[in-house]
Amino acid sequence: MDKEIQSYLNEIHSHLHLDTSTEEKIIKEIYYHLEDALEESRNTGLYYKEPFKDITQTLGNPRDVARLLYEAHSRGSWEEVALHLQPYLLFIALFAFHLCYSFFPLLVSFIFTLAVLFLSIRRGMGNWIFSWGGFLFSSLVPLFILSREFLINVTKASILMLYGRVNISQWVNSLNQAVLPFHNFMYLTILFFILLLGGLLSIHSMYRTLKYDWLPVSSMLMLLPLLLGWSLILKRTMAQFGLLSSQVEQLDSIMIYSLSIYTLSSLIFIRAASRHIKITALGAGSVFGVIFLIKNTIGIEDMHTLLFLIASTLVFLFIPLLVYRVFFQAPDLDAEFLKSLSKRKEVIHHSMYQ
Amino acid sequence: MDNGYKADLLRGNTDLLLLFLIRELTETYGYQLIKEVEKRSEGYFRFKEGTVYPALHKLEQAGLVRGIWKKHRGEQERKYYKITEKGEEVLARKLGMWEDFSRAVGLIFGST
Repeated sequence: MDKEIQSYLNEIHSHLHLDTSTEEKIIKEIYYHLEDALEESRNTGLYYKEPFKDITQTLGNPRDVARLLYEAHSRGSWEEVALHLQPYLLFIALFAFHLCYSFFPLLVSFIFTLAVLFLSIRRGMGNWIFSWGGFLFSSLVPLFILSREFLINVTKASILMLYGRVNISQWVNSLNQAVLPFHNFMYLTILFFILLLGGLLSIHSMYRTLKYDWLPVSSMLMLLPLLLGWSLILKRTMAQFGLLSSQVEQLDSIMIYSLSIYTLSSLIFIRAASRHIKITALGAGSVFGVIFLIKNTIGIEDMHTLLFLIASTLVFLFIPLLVYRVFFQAPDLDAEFLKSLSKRKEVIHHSMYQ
Repeated sequence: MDNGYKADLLRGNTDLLLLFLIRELTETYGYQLIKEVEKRSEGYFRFKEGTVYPALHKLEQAGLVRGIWKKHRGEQERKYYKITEKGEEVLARKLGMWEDFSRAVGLIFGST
């Protein structure tokens, strides 16, 4: 394949940010367009000083072509929107019915989400699965924050048991005392392992996605600042007023609004064709959600928490971009794929103009 | 300025022209569409080639056309586009709107 054409196709490929199978079909279509154009120029006897360069120029700037093709493929359908928003609506329902502190509703929600995530990864990952992965991945944060004591106690008690300083019943007892907000450490352990499994699956899909695009990975992480903020405030509220207080109920109501803001921005994220609008929607949804939460709970005056959460929003938004740039920046098209394209037909190649 | 206006006209009617030609040609591919527009408009309209594929893919994503890969002369493949039922409906609606529009413009010009 001519170098001019190869570098043109590589340039399109590096700006497409679509999944591999879609990208290959697009590249194939454009390559055959170039072949048709070259063949026609030969048949009509037109003389080009630099045929490959001239032909690629008629297609236009590869970045623009890639951007337009991305926009043609990136806009999610309403079915995708409905599937994408399910985990956020599930979160809203858990807060609306104050079920975030009950084991069984959480267990059912997590198992259901995990099953959907697992099946969709096996069947080839639709664009909507990122929110499902994000749901499980982000849920690990409150669990860690609210049960830090539990984790410390597990470690301490286990070390003591190893050295024979405590027996099993003492070990179980010490765990039970530390568990927050659940009354049985087994509940927490079960949820923790389900979420850990979900988190690992999410990391697996993040890794696969980062090979071609960073933006869906950011969308998986953008719920984290909101849940981080909620966990920190919940921990303070529980310490002050207890889990069954009206203050905790009020916090749940505020979370419903914050999550609704984020859900709305996710809807825009899926439906928008332009990459800039997608990034803006994602960042703005998370920042406004966090501001709403802080303003209506601990107050804007607590600048440290507010700034910390806004900064974490930006970090979670752009860390995938950094990782993508450093480790995954779209490599050139696969040599085998290019070979398979050019061997299909004896194209005009150099001989015709030499 | 004239060229800008012409480009705007073409941009605003790309979907209509592509859908119409795909229906007319029954089954066609990107390069042929570009040449057909040029030929039928006697060179008046020239698509920017790089914009045709995004437009075709948008039509495909919207379910108005269906893309099918077919072998063409030995090992070479081409993606052919075919109008769908939904595409026929949208085309009929757009053609109706276009006719109304051009009649209205004609009436205004005719009255001056």
